[in-house]
Amino acid sequence: MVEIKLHDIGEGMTEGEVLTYLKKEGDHVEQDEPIVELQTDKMVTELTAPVTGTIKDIFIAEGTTISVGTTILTIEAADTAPKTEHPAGEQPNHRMPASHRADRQSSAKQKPIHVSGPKRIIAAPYTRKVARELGVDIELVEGTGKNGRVTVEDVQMFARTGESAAATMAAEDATKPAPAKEKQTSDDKIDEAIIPFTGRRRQIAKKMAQSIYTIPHVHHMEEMDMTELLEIRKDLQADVSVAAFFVKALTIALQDYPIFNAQLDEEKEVIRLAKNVHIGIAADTEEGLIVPVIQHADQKSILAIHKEMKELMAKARENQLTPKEITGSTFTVSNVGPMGSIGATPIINYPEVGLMAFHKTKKMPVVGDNDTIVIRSMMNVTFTFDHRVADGGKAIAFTNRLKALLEVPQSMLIELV
Amino acid sequence: MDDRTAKGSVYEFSAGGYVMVMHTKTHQLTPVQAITDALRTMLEERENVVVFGEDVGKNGGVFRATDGLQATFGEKRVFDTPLSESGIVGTAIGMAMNGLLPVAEIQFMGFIYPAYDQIMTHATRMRYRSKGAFTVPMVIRTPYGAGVRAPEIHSDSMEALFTHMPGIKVVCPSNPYEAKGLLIAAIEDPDPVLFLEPLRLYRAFRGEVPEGKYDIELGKGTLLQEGADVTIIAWGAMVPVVKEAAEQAEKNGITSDVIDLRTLYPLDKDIISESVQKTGRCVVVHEAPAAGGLGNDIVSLINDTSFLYMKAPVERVTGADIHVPFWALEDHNLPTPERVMAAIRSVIHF
Amino acid sequence: MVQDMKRAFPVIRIMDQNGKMTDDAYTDQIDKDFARTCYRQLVCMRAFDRKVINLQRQGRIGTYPGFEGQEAAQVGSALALREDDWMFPTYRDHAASITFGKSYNILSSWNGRLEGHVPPEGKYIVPPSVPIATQLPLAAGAAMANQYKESTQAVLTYFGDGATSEGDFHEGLNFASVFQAPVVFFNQNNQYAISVPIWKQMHSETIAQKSLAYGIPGIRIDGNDIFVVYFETKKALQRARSGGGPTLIEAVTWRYGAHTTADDPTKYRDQKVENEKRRRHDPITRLALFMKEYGYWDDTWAKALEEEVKAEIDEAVKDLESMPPANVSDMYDYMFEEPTWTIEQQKEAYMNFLRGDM
Repeated sequence: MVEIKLHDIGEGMTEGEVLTYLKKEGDHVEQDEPIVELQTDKMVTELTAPVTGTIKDIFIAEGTTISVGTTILTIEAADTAPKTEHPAGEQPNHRMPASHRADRQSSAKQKPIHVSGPKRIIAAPYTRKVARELGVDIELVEGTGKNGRVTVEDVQMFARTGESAAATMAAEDATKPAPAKEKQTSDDKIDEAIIPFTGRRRQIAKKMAQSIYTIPHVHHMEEMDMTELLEIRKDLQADVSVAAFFVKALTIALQDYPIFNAQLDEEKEVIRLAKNVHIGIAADTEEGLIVPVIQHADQKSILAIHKEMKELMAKARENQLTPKEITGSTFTVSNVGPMGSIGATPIINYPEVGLMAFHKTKKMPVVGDNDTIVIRSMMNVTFTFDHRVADGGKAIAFTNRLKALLEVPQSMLIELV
Repeated sequence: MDDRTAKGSVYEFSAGGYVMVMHTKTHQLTPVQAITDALRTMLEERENVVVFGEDVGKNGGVFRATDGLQATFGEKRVFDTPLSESGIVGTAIGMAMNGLLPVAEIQFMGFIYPAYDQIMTHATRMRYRSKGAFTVPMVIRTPYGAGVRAPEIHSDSMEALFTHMPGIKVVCPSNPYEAKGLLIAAIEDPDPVLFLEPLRLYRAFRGEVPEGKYDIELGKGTLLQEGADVTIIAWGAMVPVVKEAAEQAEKNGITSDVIDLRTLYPLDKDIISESVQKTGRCVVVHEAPAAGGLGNDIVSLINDTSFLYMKAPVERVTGADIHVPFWALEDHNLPTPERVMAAIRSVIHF
Repeated sequence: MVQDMKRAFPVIRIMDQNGKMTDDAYTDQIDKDFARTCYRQLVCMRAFDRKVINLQRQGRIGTYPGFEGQEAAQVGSALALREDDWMFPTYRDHAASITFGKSYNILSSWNGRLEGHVPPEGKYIVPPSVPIATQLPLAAGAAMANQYKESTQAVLTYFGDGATSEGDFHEGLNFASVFQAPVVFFNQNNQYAISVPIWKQMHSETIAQKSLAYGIPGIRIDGNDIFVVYFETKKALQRARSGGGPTLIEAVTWRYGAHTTADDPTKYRDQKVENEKRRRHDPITRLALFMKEYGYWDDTWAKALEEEVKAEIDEAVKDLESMPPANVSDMYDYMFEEPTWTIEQQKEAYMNFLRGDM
């Protein structure tokens, strides 16, 4: 409901007389259409409607002198009026329904005084500066910070991915202007294939950006001699993947270095060491990356781990993982070796502290004990960790512990539960 | 560069550490001894320097800031005055207009108010209202601040009354090296300077002070410590407080730029804006009341120069809008490292 | 007690209200030239004062504090100064400033111009003090500096009867007396501090007696007798130069008119009484009578003097009205020897605004 008041339209005018109404109660008015004629001490003037809508109540009789600030009448704005109160036949309406709708839209866009003002963007000045520098319209960025505050990360992510807010809005409301960037893309490169940036892709993007912009990542690389492990596995003649050994060894090393089985709570200014070891296994699927979790991996045998891992991987491929199966990890493993890789700079599975990537194992000439060249099965690993929580020394010690366990697999025996 | 370089004697402590080539001898002095040293140096250097105030002569000042000066330089140059603050400042103005370089002492900042009229009416206006025909190269020294359990009105810290006043520079050292260099610069300045001495630090510690004459340019702050996350701004007696807070913060992984302003008017715009543009966060600390305090000017300066760089609103840690409490409660009103730390946290986690 | 003080500090004069010498000791020192110099300056200052009040009424100048009635006190004391002495006037002492500085420059200050405060080259005339009595400690300090420099320059400062109620009156006199500074405190007791008469200002019978409290010489003189003003000021200045310390002079006089052009004296005093005082005590009438008595008067000279004075004042007004417009830059440029960055920035911003660059 919009109240139409007598404003000071002269210099220091204090009162005015209502001369003639140009509309009556129930009449439709267009925005800026004259509704009432006023006599002030200096002039006769028309007061126009600030919004399109219906004249609801007229409070002041013609010929009455009123002071500045007095409400003369009210208008039910078109875009808030229930449709039933807006029968098309009640007044001559020459407009086509479509254009009528457009008109309503435009009046909404002009944000008449009664509706809440423009969308309040909560963002620190620095964030706004980053937005300006990146050419991002901050009003289109969805805030993920405190009280919906737009963070620098939100802006950067928007800039990198052209995030959804705009796209979604454009799709939902064709009359709203799409951000210039989007428009240009479709105009200039019409032949470009469009992949909707939604669903899991968007989730992944969000999570990755959150991690990379929050955590100072450090990557520590090491090579490990897998010859012994591969031989033991052969001797066992059991269906146990190398990866299961990796996971088991990790659970042992993590118990020795619990700082990597943890998460940083910046709000409360504490680092929480996890009681249990739940290992996330990064799985590459058609839909995109997903990380099923082996719960309590520290309490499971290598075989049990292997079996569970196999099941989870199958479910991942079938896209059948339950939410429970993909939450709660305390440390993540990225076993990229089978696909072939000698190194990487992975992104930590936020808010964890560390991630271990196992690269491809291959036979390599290695200098042996007596300066002889021997052929060994070598594998690189990359340990990525949150430098806020731990430093390089710890990371190396942790990796060395893992290396010792995997290079001399028998040593894992004494750790068996 | 200024004449410090020319003399090749003293370089300043700066963020990068000591870039100091000391050709001259140095002493380990307390801040108050450094003040005496500066006065002695200038009494030797300039024959028109006169030092006076209540009890500054034979007694050597109630804080011994002028200890031994009358014995060395005689009653003509170092003398006691009547107990008369307006008279002390008024006559100092007359002397300064007539060729002397007076250094007047007001015993405590809380007693400066009778002289406020003289400072506001004449000292700060004379150059302007005579279109430069008369000038007032005068220094008013006064101990300020709380924290030593002094009697009532002996602990005021009302620097903002004077930074608000057009036509006077306000200077406030935080250590012996600065005390001497800034006081010498103040005495040599062609305009009135109010020189605030943190009385709480008078004898709190010793520091290296070069022998002989050197100055520290007025209007320039100094970066005591360099960091990345937050800028902490303080002066005088609050500098040790913020340094301690910065150390605590560092243990929590927060590194700080710590700025000692040294001159309160005119503010060092560059050092403040460069730092906050780097850190995006700022905590200003002063013991004076918040209302109309210098912290507000600093917030304005940041607003003017660095608005778009700010990640959080500037936090002020100040005295409340109350008089310095009787000393049984004075510690409750003085900013502490813990209060500064809380403010640092608040700007970091904004 | 009251009577004692009046007796201890009688109003001293050399010539009475009929222009007769009452003390022959000075007869030799007052020759025709000196008498004519005094008369010319008195007439000139009165004409000046009246002219400026007219200018104010015509809207050609701002608020102006007149001094009519006090010409002898101001001119006599100013003439007693050595060329290189210091003067600390108040806002009503233009007759003293103009006489000592031999310049009408001060006039422009009443037109809101800073230039009016710049003393003529080589003159130590400090801009007139506005807050009452605040100039007294300054004068003491300037005198202490002369003492320090072993200079024989003396300092003279003016102040009114109301100023004796201020703390700075005490602080200035006390400092000067403690340090035996070469300064003359010249009080023009014109009976009114705006509207408050002297008897409401203080319980003391005289101002001169306050010298006793500081252990310095004090004297009460007839401020409308230009000769006693001249010779007593001269004596006090001489004492100051020769190490005899400060002197308090109370020159009893009358302000005939209003406090300023913005004041109406009929609200607080009976102008008929003032006019009667004026008729009997006017410093110019008295000097004219003296000159006639001693054969220094000449009607032709007096007539010519009128023309000469008018021309001189017209010239001063012409100078005032032909000044170039006030320079905006001036308000920023004299705060410090080197402007601070804030002032520089504010000046630049405003100058740009004026040029329409904003």
